[in-house]
Amino acid sequence: MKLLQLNNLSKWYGEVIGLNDVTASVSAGVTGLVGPNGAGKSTLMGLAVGQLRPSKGSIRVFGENPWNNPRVLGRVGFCPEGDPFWPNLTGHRFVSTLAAMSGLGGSNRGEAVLRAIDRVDMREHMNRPIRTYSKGMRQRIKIAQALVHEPDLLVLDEPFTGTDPVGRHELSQLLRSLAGYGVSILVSSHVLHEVEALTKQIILIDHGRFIAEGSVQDVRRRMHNRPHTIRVRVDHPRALAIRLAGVNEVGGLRILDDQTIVVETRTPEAIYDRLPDLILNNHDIVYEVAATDETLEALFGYLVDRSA
Amino acid sequence: MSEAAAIDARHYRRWPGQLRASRWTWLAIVRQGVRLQLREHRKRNLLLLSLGFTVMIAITLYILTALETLAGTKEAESMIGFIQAFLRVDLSGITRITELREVLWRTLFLVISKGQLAWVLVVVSMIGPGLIANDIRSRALPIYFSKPVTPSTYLLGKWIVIAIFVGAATFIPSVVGLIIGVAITGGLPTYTQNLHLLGDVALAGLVNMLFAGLVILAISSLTRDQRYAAGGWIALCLLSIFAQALLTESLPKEQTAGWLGSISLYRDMSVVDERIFSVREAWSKTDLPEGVFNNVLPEPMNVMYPVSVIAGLAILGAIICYRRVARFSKAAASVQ
Amino acid sequence: MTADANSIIFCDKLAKRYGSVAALNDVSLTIEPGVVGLLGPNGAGKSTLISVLLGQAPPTGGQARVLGLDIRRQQRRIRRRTGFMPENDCLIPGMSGTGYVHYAGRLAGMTHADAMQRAHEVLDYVGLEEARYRQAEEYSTGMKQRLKLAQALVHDPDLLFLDEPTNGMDPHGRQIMLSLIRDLGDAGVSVLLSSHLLPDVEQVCDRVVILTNGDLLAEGAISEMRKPHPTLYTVDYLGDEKAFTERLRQVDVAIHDRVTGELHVELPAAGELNRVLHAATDTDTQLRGLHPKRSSLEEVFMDALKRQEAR
Repeated sequence: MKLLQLNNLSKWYGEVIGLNDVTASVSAGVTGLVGPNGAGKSTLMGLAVGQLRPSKGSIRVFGENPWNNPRVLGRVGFCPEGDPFWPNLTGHRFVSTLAAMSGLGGSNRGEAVLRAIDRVDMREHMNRPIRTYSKGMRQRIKIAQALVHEPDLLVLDEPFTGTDPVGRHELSQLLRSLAGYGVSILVSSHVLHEVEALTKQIILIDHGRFIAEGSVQDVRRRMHNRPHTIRVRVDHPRALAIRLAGVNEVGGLRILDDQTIVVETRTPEAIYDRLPDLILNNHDIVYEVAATDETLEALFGYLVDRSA
Repeated sequence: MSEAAAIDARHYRRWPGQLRASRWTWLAIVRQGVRLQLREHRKRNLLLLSLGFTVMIAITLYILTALETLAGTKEAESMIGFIQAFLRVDLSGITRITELREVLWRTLFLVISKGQLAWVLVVVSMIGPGLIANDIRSRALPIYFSKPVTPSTYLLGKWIVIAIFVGAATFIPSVVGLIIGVAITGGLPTYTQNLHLLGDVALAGLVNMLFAGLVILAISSLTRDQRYAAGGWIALCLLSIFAQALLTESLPKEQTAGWLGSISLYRDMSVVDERIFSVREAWSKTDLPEGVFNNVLPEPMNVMYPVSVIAGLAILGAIICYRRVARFSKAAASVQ
Repeated sequence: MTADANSIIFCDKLAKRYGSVAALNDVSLTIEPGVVGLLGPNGAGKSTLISVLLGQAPPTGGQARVLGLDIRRQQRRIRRRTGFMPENDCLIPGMSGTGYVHYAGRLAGMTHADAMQRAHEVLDYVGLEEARYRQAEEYSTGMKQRLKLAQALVHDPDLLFLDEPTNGMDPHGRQIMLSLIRDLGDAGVSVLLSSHLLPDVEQVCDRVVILTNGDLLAEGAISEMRKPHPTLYTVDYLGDEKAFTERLRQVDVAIHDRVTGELHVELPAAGELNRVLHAATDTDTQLRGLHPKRSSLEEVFMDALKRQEAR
């Protein structure tokens, strides 16, 4: 069973479109949700945690409709974007108040709250008011709030915004350790390298529309209309270039400097298959082989190119 | 990333021009401040409404002139009745109206300037509260203090904005009224006789600008919400009047003659205006009985008290807004 | 230490204390023209440094020069030749984009005509087309950031202070902003770029300055700070994991970590990557990438912080 299943899912607010006819599925594990501002990421998250109701189509979380469904909501934790409201509350009060509001039972609430705070490693700071927290600590206490009822799915909207490198590093560690406990995570972020370091499973949306899902390499491979470029660093690039020129699948060759050539092709598989032999037969020494645009950043640039 | 590349293609071009001396930057602040205010209809209407004072002055001066020419006739009798009602002065027995011209004109401008005090309260409460508060709220101060602008330059610019509006609501209508009046009366004698009124009107306007301007800047610098500033300004003015009224009711008269009599800002300003137009002095030179003018004039009191209150508040206002703005300028780059 | 005539920023034991808190602790550094990153965790003193250099907050000790001008006595001249883009929104409500940039130019001391002409030029440059006539408060995050940059550029400064210019922007908007910054650097405008997004800094800056707790932690060229690890590689492959890893071990390639389709390996010596090629051809494995491991700016930064804590 899929964690999330979206079927022709649409959501609009009056005339404004939030999400437009999205069909996709998300399996368990960590999933990055990326897209430009206004792409519909927050809408998708709101729908997944049952805060919003689809205008059309359906969404299934753990196979069930999350809207007004306590069975699903009990298994989902949500960490919205922005600062925690009530900056004067201590971290502990903040978490326990929200836990009480979401109807968590009285006797074991205290225990659950402390467990959640321990999870995010905030026990040391839990008796200080939230306004004294750094951005990273605020994110962590918000995550604790989402963890109190031990959800199977954690939904995080832009948790990295505004955090400094130290805070971001700790946050990533935390998410990794949560994933290690078996919690599935859906996380949106503009900080693409952080998403990339966290997971290979990406969903890309733009203008409310679904664009692509899968790993960066998978998605890149499926984009047939753009030629691939592979950078190769060897000792004798010109000799290697002569060899490569004889390979049918090579569309273009550029020599960048006295070590580097860039190979352009529409079928990178063929190049990858041939390259080791070509290098070894040339008695050359290799230093690097890399597809130049197999990064989330590059992919994002291709897929949400507004000017094109 | 073709859009990024497209921008790349238009490389940055250096500007070979020269900057002007920074001592003129306050002028930019004034221009921007006035333009931003005038964009709002209700604020433009405010200035239009101020011309009501001009109309009042012109009509009264016209009547006075007519009275002079009609002296002794029946029409004059009824007109005097009208003026009595308007100025709340007992004028029965006045026959040599031409000789009283100067004192009547002085009195008229004092009455008008007292009316303008209330008007200044309204104008300032609409124009002034946002002057600094909005910059604090929108965090625009770092923009000023990353440019060659000092707190004093900034405040000078902001003060001139409020001064222009106070002037446009008080000084300008009065001056226009005076010019119209002189034109109606005709003849150079009236002009030279009342030339000093021009200076008096300017001085009264300047007192308004300094006092109201500095106090509202101080209040505006203390909050990031201009509604609080407007409330604070109105409360300050009205409460001072109420407090004074209360004290006058409950205390014997001797005690309210000094400092306690200077609590009401409205009364302080009236006393100062009376001195500026020197109405009491002018009346005393006439042969009219004592007390005829009491309804128009504030009660006599030592002018030192109200002057100290007004000057003190203005100076305090200047200190407060300077310190506040200087504090923001020092922390401009830091998180606020 | 003397002020180099050519340096854009020169600090000698520069200190700034707020009461008992030291926001800057005897910072001495010289920065040459170029695009320079200013890094540090929250509260490291980055904003204080910018504030002091702009002549806004007087230092409590030491001295500093910006573009050769003394920060205590020549504040106005410094601000005429520098531009500052604050981190927070700083738009004036009720103004159009053009009006706002024009106003910034006037504040800097430009004439009306100059300010108007330059306002349009820099708005073109940052890519605010028709939107320039709209009220600035209606702008999207990315447009606001670009407007803030235009405001800092209008009087053509020689040095720009940018405080978190890419904060909150989406990846696309960030790329636009970064290419603008790089282009400014190429046009001879020096930039001091304060940012938490280290890959952004890595992309546009030549050098970085790292501050923590008011202390200068490190300063230098990014290329020198990022140490290459000539024997460490990441190998992307497609094929039988067991056979491939076994063959690699036989040719003395150590395997440190493995994820599906990805191996982190260590070669017995630098320049021995051909061993991996051999292993791949021997086992019919398709190699999809051989990436030398270099420490990223992120690692350099975290390492520097750790060293500081250890002291």
